[in-house]
Amino acid sequence: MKSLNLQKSFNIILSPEFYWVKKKKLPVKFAFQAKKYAKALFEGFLPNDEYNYIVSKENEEFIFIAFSEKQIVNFMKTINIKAEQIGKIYFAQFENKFFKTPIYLDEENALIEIDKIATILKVGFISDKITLYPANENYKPTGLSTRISSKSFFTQMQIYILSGLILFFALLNFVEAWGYGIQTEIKEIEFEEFVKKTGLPNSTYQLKNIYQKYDTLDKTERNKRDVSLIIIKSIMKHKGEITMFNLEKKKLLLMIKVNPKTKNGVKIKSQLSKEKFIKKMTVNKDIMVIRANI
Amino acid sequence: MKKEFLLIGAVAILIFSIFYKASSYSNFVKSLDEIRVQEEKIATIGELKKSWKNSKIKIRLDAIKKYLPKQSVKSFSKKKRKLKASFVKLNPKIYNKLIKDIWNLKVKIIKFKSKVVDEKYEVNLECSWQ
Repeated sequence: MKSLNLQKSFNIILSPEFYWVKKKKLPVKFAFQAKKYAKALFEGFLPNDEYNYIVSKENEEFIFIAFSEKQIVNFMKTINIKAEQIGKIYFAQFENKFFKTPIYLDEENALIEIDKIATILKVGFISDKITLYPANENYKPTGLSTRISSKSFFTQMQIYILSGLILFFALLNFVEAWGYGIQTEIKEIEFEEFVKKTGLPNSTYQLKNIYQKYDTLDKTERNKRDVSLIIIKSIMKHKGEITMFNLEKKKLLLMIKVNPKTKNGVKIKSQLSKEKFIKKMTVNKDIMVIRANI
Repeated sequence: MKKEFLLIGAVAILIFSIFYKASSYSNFVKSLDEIRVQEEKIATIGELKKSWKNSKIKIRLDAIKKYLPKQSVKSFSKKKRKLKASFVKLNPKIYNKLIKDIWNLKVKIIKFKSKVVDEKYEVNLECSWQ
């Protein structure tokens, strides 16, 4: 066949040498169920190759078509057509309108229907009474069809360029990630050196313990002092007299000599009763007892 | 189709690299945060240690003892970073000064008990330091 110089993609109708057809009744209902039997059905009939199968149901029978994609693609290459250019694939057997009159395939071969089977015959074997026509280029196929599964959307070069670009961006990401890793290590080393200088242990657990020890001590002792100073200042301000001051553990007990009925006594009581740490305030004659929790 | 596998492989590597970078960045930020928290803790420990582990506390406690009248110091014992002291007959002025000085010292006040006896103060003090 002549080499073609076509740029667009197009559909093709396969002549009979590219496919095999079988009809068979099977005890299944649907085509997808019948497809499981396709390979076994053609076993021993086909040349050694990898085949694709199409199954269609026609009345009570299933139509099985076997074809080799590789063979089709290789043939297309010989006529300068890339696999990417092949759109849908149709089969001559199911396009009888295409050759209702016998047609030329090329100078030597013709496609004709014999006993309802699409057949290729040498032009020389066809009677002179039969007129051969060129194929109708405007014909739109309607029968069973499929697509090349190995068809690529990209050319080889496009794939290489695209893959290269993608890998380049991936490499940039890896380099950046590696950079973060290095920076983390540097920060950790710097931190270890900083800890060494302070003379503190490097372990997070030990550091936490030391921190808690000092933090608790600081907060508790500050609280003791703050609470007792607030109470003492209030008493002194209103001319009370501390007769007892007991601070032990986290409890504070004070006894004040002040007449609770005087202005000062009332002020001390009202001022201290607002404080959250005051647990209890009792008055007995001119003695006020204050209990506070630190 | 084999060629597409190259493309799919490249895309898979790119996706992996994006997640790997995101994970590395997240680890980096997490690590920085942890280091910052630890540094803050260390700085706080340093400050607390400086104020609570003061070698001059013993001297300052002795200084308190010195300004108290001798007859007022009933007992004054320092053992293993711990002070147990008992004072009697403190006038209000000295008593207030004593409270002020003890309160300003970075010591752990275990016990501070005081009461008025014949218009004078009696104090029992127990404290420790780092």
